Amino acid sequence: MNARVRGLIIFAVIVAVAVVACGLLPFVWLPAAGVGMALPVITVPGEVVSYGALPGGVNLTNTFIGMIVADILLVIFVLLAWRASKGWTKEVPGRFQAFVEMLVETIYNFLKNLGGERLRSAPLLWPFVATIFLFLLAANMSKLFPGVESVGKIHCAYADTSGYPVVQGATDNAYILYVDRALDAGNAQTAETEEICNTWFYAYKGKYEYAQRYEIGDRSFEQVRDDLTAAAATAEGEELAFTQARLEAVEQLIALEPVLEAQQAALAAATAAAADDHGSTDDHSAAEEDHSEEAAATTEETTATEGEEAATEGEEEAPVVETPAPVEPVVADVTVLEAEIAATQQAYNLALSGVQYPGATMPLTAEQLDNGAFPFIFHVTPFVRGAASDLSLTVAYAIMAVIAVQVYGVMALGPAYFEKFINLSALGNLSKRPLGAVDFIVGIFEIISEFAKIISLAFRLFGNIFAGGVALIAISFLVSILVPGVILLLEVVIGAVQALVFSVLTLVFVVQAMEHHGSGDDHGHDSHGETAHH
Amino acid sequence: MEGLEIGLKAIGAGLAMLGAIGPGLGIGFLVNGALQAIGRNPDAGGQVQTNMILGIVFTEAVAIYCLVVALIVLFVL
Amino acid sequence: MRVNKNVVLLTLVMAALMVVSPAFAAEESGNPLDTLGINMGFMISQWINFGLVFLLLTTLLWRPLVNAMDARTAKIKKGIEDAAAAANARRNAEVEAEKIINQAQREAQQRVAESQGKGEDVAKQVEAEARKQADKIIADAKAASTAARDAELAGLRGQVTSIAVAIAQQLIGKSLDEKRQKELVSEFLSNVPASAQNLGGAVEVTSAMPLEAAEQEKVKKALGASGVIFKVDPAILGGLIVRAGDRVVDGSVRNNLTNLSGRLN
Repeated sequence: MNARVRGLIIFAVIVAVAVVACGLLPFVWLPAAGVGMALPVITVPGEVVSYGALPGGVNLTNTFIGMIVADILLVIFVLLAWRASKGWTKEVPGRFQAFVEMLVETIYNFLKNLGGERLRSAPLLWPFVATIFLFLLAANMSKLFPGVESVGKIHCAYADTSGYPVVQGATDNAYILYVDRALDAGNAQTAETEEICNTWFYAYKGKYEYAQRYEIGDRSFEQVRDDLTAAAATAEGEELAFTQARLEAVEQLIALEPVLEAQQAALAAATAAAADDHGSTDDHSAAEEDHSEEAAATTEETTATEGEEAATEGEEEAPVVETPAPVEPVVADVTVLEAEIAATQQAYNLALSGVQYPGATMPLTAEQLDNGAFPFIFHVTPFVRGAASDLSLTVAYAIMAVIAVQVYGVMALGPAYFEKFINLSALGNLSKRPLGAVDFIVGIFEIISEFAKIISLAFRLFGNIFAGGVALIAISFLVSILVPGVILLLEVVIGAVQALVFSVLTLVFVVQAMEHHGSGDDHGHDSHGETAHH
Repeated sequence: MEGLEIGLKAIGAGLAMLGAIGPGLGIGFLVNGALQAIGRNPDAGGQVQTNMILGIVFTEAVAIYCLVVALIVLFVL
Repeated sequence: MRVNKNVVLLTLVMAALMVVSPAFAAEESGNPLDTLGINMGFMISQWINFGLVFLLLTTLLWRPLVNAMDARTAKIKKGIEDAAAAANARRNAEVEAEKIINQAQREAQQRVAESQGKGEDVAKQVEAEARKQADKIIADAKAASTAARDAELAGLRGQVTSIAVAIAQQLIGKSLDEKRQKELVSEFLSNVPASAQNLGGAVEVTSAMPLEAAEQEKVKKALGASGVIFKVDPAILGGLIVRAGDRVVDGSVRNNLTNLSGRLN
């Protein structure tokens, strides 16, 4: 009984933690603080962190940085091991040395089990395979460090992608994406809005007095308009342009304000009518009356907003013509009205943002603006991305592995190795053994299979690592706390397994190529059979 | 028009990934067999495991071709 | 650690190349593979990077570590072999020692056995002697007691026998007149036992009364002896006693009486 009570308490704590961590925190508190989870842009190629930073004006990608990070990790590891072991001369190993020795011995023994005697007889084979393994392991593990694939350079979102507004971070050059809604996929950026954003962000922001945020405060829009008109009289050049843009936005605001109010009133009326209608279905005439009133109001509004959408207008009129109006048109009206209001609100917010930041492309509310949100569309390009989530790396390594296979094959068998591909002896003996034709054709397929090896090696590694990153991003976007930890653990396993698989496959292919071949591609199995019998 | 194009691409990529069903089943069968083998002869566990991983890897290659096709449909076409 | 200058130089050159290499493919934009991120320049830099890592790991990790591990394995193997040899030597020594100990033990046992045997012999001897003495004493004592008893019994019996014999002699003596004497001799002569016939040599004949010449002739004839010495001993009461060397044929009355007395006893 006591245990049960204790269990109940523990269970309650677990549930509470789960609710807070997986419910309140990611869906309520973090968005309220403006640091909800953003959905990053997913691209296959390495994202450019710095344009033209590499020699020859080549763009520096984050996967390249990921590769350097993996290198640094390896160098540190090796140098630490070298120092801890005094150049591998220390007889009694310390803890770190023992760890490294155990790791290397495990790798060595594993590869030896797989490759048999050839592993040592073939020059540099085992260091080659082990280096592939260790580098890929370093790359795959370094990709899971905190900050990798999440901390990065903030810039205006590229055209055809989506992004979020930003707020100022701790320092002048630090920004944080402003996400105040859960599961917000961001706003789309077009080529024009991207250009405006870039101009603002890089040319004006923080540089000129007139390009700072113009705060409205408690003033009415008319007052603001008057103030801006007065300011425009004295301004010149760019400042004048800015002021005029702000003035235009204020004019728009002044025009939109009554429209929005009218729409909201109409919506309130329609909702009330709908509620009435639901309450007493007999009272048809009242509903109809309400209806026509609303219709009149909406037509007025739409003309005021200068025919925002002719289509909606048409839709609007249809229920008015139908005199025996059932319940549905009222409901439809409410939804239509809501859409209308949303559109007007959007225009209103855009104008409001435009007053404070001329040319704003992201409609923000007054509250959001007061929170310091900058009404342009940005996203983050991580500084570091997993090196193996770049096809350049995986294809390069796969090509390297397959070339090594050919090299070791030739080293072991001499020119006879190429009989595997173009079986000349089978072709020559065709008169005696007509079935040799099959061998010849199989040889041709072997050529294809070498290229298939490149593709499967490269895309296996890439697919697993890239998909792991995407899964992590997607899960983080949905539930940003606790749950991604599970995926992260899975990623640790996948990263290690893929590094192992790549190196093991390289070794297996090499060993296979070094076998004397009779026919077909059962060599791999034969060699395994041999090792299995030991 | 552009939306339709994107939608069709997405459908195409999704259809391409249907090919992952086969390798999924295959890996399931493979692991089934390997685990039975280990169950019958636990001493040979290491060998069976190594060969199982190799088999999984070769089976997985088919799924990878699907992934390649899907990626090409999404990003290259 | 002594660093090969060539290795350092090679490393630096490769590092520089790696950073520069993406430029090789800078103009290759527009390639459809670029949309997948497959870029020749970056691939070249990956290869060079791999070369660097390979160089680093091979020189600082794989080679020296495996060599060190091999050396250690060899050392351990040698140690194990040495230990095995030492163990072997010890085992041999142990066997030897055991052998020696066994021998010593055997000797000791032998000696103990010997000494024990001697002791036992001595003890046995002593015991035997003691027993013998004891037996002798007992026998003496028994003999003495038997003799005493016999003497006593003999005394008694002698008296009884003498009485009986006296009675018998009284009876016989009265009746043993001359005539009876002659009858006894002739009876003896007529019925000479086989053992007293043809004696030859010197024969001694004892009689209670002196024999007549005719009787002597008869005796000579009956005995078949050449030289006969005739003795007279009245103690034999009657009859004859023939003695030829070591043979005696007693046909005397005394002998018969003695036999009787023995039977009475």
